Amino acid sequence: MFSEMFSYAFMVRATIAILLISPLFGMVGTMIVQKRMAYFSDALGHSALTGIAAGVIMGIANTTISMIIFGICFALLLNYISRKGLSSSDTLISVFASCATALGLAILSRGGSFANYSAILVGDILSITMAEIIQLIVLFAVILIFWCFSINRLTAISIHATLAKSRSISVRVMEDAFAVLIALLVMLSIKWVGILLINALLILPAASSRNISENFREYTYLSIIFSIFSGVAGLFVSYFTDMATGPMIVIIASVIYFATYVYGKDR
Amino acid sequence: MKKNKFLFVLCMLVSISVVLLCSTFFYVKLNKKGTSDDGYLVMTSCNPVYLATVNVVGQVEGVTVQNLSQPTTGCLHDYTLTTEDMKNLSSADVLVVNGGGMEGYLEDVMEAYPNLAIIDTFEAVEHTYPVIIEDEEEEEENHSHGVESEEHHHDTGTNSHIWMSEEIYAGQVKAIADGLGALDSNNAASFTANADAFIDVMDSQLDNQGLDELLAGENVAVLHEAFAYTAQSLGLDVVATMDLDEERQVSAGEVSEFIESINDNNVRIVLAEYDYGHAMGELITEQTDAKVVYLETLVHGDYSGLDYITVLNKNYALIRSAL
Repeated sequence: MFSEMFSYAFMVRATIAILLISPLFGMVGTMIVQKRMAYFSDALGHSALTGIAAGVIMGIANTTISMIIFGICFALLLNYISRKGLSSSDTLISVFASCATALGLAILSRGGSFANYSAILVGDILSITMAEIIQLIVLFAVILIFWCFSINRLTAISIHATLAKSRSISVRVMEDAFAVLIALLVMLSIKWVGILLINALLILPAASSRNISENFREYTYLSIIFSIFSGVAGLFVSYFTDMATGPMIVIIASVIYFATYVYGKDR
Repeated sequence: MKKNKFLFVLCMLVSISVVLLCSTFFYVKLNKKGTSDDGYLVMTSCNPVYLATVNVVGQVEGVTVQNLSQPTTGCLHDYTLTTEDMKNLSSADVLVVNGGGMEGYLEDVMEAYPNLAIIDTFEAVEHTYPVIIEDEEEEEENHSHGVESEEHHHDTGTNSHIWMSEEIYAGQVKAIADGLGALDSNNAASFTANADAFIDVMDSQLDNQGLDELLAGENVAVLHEAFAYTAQSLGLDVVATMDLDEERQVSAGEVSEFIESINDNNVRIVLAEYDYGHAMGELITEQTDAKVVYLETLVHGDYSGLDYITVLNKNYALIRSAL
């Protein structure tokens, strides 16, 4: 049964992609949940539409580039305005996300051609090419290096920003760097996962892990395990049942969340 | 406590794996389709092309025709391939497509299966048959919406619902016979003979009920691009087009312009597809004197054999009864 599955090149590529993306989601997700940035990553996902629209207006043939540039600018702008403290961050993020989504939809639906872009809503991991897998390998390496060098500082900031500042940690630089990292991860994987589900994949494994973890190391490792398990199991089930891969991964990740929630509640 | 937790994680993941394995196993067992690995496998991209190919292949031994999974709603152009489609394509010898940007996934397929032969029927007929090209202004506007390298009928400026024209469909049938014959020279004569026989059946059985004479030169409006070809076949003049599908965002200005055009051009009939044109159809019936006729586009549903003729005749009968 499984040998037949790997006789197809598209399944081999999709499995490699899942094995590259899911640990990243599990890892980065822990900090997103820890720093209560779930809304932030969701807004970034939705802003992908505006990134595409910006690319279309400027005549950029490869809209992934415009998505990444827009995503980074969007993330940094959000951080900048949040720091000003003029309004609560969830309100600000909501306003930005709605505005960006509406702008993207308005531009892309001009002349009734939104159907051209609808594939990005659900994503399609089966059509990933080798060149795109190489992109993901580079992303994997970049995030891993950043993680190894910055995890302690990010954790300190997430626990107490003022205390972190007193220990000579540049809070602003670290927050901006992390926002750029999330933007890169979201924008480079959104084509495979889809706007509608990307946040679920970022949040669910980390949230499940948080339900039962007692320290940060445990939290990170369990999140990565849950993420890889959901990704691989979701891909395999979708292969045999002919259902879309993204939703299947999210369903499995949700089951893990509910199970850990029940276990964690009774601890 | 700690030990219990890791035991819990292990048990949970094993339990989920067992449940998934068992349910997937039973699902696969219940839904197993008999596919033959022997012989020449011809895959088709959509129902109209499938019907044409089935008739071209006919009873030729060793050649199997199989259609990709079909979207149950919406238009073909935003359809994404399922794992079943990808599996079938990896064992296929040739893929027959409508072309003209109708299959948005075609580039991905060509990249994934560089050795798969592709018969593009649109490419074969576009210079020799009356393919409809959108007006320049609209074409320019749509060009500005191009996305990455994805080809699309809106971007190419041509209306790729060519199967709705009997004349062009006959051209597609011939193109499929030629394409298959070039790839399988042993059966080339059979493919050509079958194609000719099918075109003869189309000529004799398609009945537009005299609509071409009755409506010649009359103005018509369409709520789906596909019906521009129905209008062309009947000699009607399309004065207003609004291509509706599930993701179409219609602006108020567009609706008023469409209604104005119907009223100004004394349009008696508006051709629409029920699923996405119904709400707009109600509005048009309310605001104008035109009658909205709901026709089939042959894209959704299970078809076989001579259903192309049946569906087109049904469409003509519906138009006739609306007069």
